[in-house]
Amino acid sequence: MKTKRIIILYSVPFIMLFFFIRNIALVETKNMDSWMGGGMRMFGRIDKMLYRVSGLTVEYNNKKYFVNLRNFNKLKDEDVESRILPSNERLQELLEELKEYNWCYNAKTDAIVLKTLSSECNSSINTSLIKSLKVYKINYSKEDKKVSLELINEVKSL
Amino acid sequence: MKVYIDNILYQLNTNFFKITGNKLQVFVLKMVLLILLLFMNDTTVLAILMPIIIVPGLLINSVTTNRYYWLILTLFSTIPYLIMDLVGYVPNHKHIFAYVIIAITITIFLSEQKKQLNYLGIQAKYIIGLCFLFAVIGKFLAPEFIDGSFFEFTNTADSRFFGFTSFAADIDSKLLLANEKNLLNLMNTQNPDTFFVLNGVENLSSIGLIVSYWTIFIEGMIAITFCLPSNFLLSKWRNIFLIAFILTTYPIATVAGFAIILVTLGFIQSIKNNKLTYYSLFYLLVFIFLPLIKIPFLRVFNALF
Repeated sequence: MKTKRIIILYSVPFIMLFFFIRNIALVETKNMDSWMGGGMRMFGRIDKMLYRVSGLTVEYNNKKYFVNLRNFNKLKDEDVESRILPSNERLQELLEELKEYNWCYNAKTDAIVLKTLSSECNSSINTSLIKSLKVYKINYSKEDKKVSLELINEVKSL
Repeated sequence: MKVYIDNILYQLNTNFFKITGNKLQVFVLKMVLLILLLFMNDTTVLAILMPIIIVPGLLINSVTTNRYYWLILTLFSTIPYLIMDLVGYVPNHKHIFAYVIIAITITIFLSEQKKQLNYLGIQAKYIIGLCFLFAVIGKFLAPEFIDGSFFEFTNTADSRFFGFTSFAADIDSKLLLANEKNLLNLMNTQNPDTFFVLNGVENLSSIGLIVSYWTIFIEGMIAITFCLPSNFLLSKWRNIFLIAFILTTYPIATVAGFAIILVTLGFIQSIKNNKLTYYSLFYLLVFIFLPLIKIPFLRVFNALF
């Protein structure tokens, strides 16, 4: 009876404690968004995945392009995953996945876009031109009131 | 006024719930089911399946209290909210949904029916206490919270706070909307070197600090009073602190999902000896009227005056 009572009363607090400790460990070691992972650390840090920016760097025609994943609905899952937990392992895996897609150059907008039936493409992008996957967080400077992006992690193409 | 409230409580406890713990327990479980029906629709699978699973529980009392029914709900909440929580976007209140469902399932499986409501009340108390304890520790781990810059940024860039900000700091709401637009542009940028300057922050530096310290105080007091055993004198104040938090937070920060589960947990832990208390009545009223937080009161007030 006493064991049952202990299980009833302390199972959920134990699970909560596990998620809180995991949250701290992943935030400190794997760049996880502190608001995520059930750590209950909401409304503490400015940096959260909803504000993070994730994208590919592509070198094309001697110019560097940043391809923000948020701009492609088809890549929503990859974008969210990379922003929640941009660890080296996850980003490397996602980078290889993203390179499998067909990318192309749109001269009209001077941007690298996903090749679709509706997108205007001038030339295909070879996967060797995709150099890295980067994840940025929002940085707010109290001194000059500037809001900018700060690199959290980057993995390079193998 | 007190006589009037006492009469409402008496009517609820005698006629509505017939004093029997079972009726009140069914009501509590249905409150949780209603929340799940309204908020557990994150994915297409959940949006389709949850109404099919939940509606019978809301309509048939024998289903509501069935242990295997809650086991199914445990599976459907644990997989997306606790196991796959680092793959998709799972906000903290969805974790609390899963904790509440697990707590109900364990209680129904392992305890006698007459003790279940009491056990649920204790678990609700622990969930609230730990949630706020972790939230306070998290704030101490965030330097930008302690120096006030978190609220400087959030109050002027997060549209959920614009009503409060324009009212408290007398900032033109057009400037705040420009901040929101600039932030959106930054998030969609093709140039990571881009930046913008936040409008209206100069009016907010002292308010940012006051809000930060108030938040730490009230959340800290909730954590202490809810985690302390009930024989401690300070624990008698737990409902007062929780109500103060609800009244000072949700009219400003309209986070409906978190608010409704918090109010429901508050309701469950406020029940004493299978009877509603004054506090239960407050939580119940907030539960009923919570959809009103969708109305931007301060913005309406600002527009009128």
